[in-house]
Amino acid sequence: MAALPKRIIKETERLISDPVPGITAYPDEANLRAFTVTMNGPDSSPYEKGIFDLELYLPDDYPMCPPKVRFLTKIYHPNIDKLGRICLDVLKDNWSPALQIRTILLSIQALLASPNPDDPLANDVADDWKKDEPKAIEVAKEWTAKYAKAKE
Amino acid sequence: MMANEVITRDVGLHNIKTSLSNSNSNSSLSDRIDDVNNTNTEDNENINNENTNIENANIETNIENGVDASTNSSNNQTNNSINNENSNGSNPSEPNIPNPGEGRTFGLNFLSSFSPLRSQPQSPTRNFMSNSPTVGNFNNVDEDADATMQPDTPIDEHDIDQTMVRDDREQQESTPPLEECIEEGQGEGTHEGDIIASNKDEEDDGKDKDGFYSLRLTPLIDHSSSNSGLYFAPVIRKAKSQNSISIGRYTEKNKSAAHAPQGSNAPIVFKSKVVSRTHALFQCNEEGQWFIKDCKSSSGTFLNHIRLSPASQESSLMPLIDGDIIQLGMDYRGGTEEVYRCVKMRCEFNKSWQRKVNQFNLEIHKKFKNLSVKETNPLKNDELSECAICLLKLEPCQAIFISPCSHSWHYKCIRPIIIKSYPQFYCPNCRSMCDLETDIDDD
Repeated sequence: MAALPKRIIKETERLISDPVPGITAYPDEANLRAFTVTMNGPDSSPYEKGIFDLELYLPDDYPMCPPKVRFLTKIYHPNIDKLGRICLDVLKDNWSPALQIRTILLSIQALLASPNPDDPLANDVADDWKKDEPKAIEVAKEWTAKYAKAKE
Repeated sequence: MMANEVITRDVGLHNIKTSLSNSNSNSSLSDRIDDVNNTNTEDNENINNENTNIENANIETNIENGVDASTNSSNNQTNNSINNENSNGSNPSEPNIPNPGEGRTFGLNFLSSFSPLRSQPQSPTRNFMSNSPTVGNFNNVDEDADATMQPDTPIDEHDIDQTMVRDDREQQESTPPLEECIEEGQGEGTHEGDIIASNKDEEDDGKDKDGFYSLRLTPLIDHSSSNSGLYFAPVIRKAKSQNSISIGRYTEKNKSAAHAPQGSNAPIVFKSKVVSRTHALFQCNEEGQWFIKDCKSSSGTFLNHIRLSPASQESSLMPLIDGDIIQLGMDYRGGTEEVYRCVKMRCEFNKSWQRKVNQFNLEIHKKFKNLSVKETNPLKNDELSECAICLLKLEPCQAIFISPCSHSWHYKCIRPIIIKSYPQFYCPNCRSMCDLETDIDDD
């Protein structure tokens, strides 16, 4: 495999030396382009107190194309489907090479705080959300308590 | 003595020019060149063009071209006249004559490197080789040439004849216009004279801390010409004195050399079939002087357009200087196919290509920083001096692109984005859309 670009080395160093509050991201030893990420659910959201696992992979073209990010922990969210795929503009067309792992993870955290059922990825969840938002938030809280537990 | 004769002939060439331009008869010089050329039926046009160029450029001239292109008969003629001229003896009191037969001035290199003469068909070359014994005895001549360019460099094997000629040339060489030209070429590449001067005291002997001497080869590419040489990524190699670095064709056996890291001592390989498997080698002496030698290549090694040795004959070591143009082989089948293209490359030695940051660079960089949006927060300011794409700092002497929204990146980093949607430019930092083809108004 080609040598790791300096940009990735630099980003990794900064993620470790100056971590984002509520988010950790560590590269896999076997593949420095693959990161294991944990994210705290944002306060005053249905995901509060949950700790979510994600995987993040930097493709060969990175930073000219966006990182691939996926939730590993089950989550009830209109913009995240059951496979953990995330519908977020900056992960798709609105990606810019000026964005970084750090900013992308912050965007995902912000998405948890403000679900957008009008641009859904998980249609069933989005429908529930639109029909009965208080109930959907309750389900999201249940799922968070059930699946997004702190690991020992 | 054969060698001696050649040298005197060569000096004779100077004298033709000396006398011609001395009497200010530029026209007669060009007439002469034209005469010589007109006897050659093929490729006349190219050569005439070339000569015209050169005349324009203050007759910093290649009589060599004339000789090169001439047929046997005209060549004889020329040689005769040379000998006649030569009987007048060399005239050191005429300093305004650049050396013709060498093609070693920067100005000349430049001109001729982009000239159609490069693809010169073989017949004139053969004439050149067979008639004037230059190639056979060529080594002597060229060593002289180099000795002149670098009077400080000791040349190991020169005999008395050569020394004499060398002295003769040195006097001619020390012409003010030529030296200016060379200095400019070796300076910062800017036209700020004072800055060039400030740069000079930083020069060292070119040896790095581990005692290695280095060389860099960059492809000579002219997109406007139909027969551009083979493209290759610039190659940097290092060697200790007396060690050599071989040049040859890319084969299965030396595959690893093609991917050798910059600054290694791996062989230099090219994916061209006109390059022999062992084509030539670079070698460096104790003083850091680099040499090239043709190692019995079949299609030849050319140093500033002059073939070092006939096919399958080894040449002697030829001293090299910065800016020399080396060509390996000749285009085959018109060079339309990539693998049949000759390799044309520009040589630089002992890290001369590394720019040293000078006052001018620093000031410009400072000014450029001020073009960016002013931030009061010093932390933010630090971010501004960083390229958002590679996250490394924007430093003086790097190629930098500044968008209309005043964001900046290394040109190398932003280029894919620029070309992707050119002339529309979508700023990755602020997401504003700019038109890079906007007319520039001066109001």
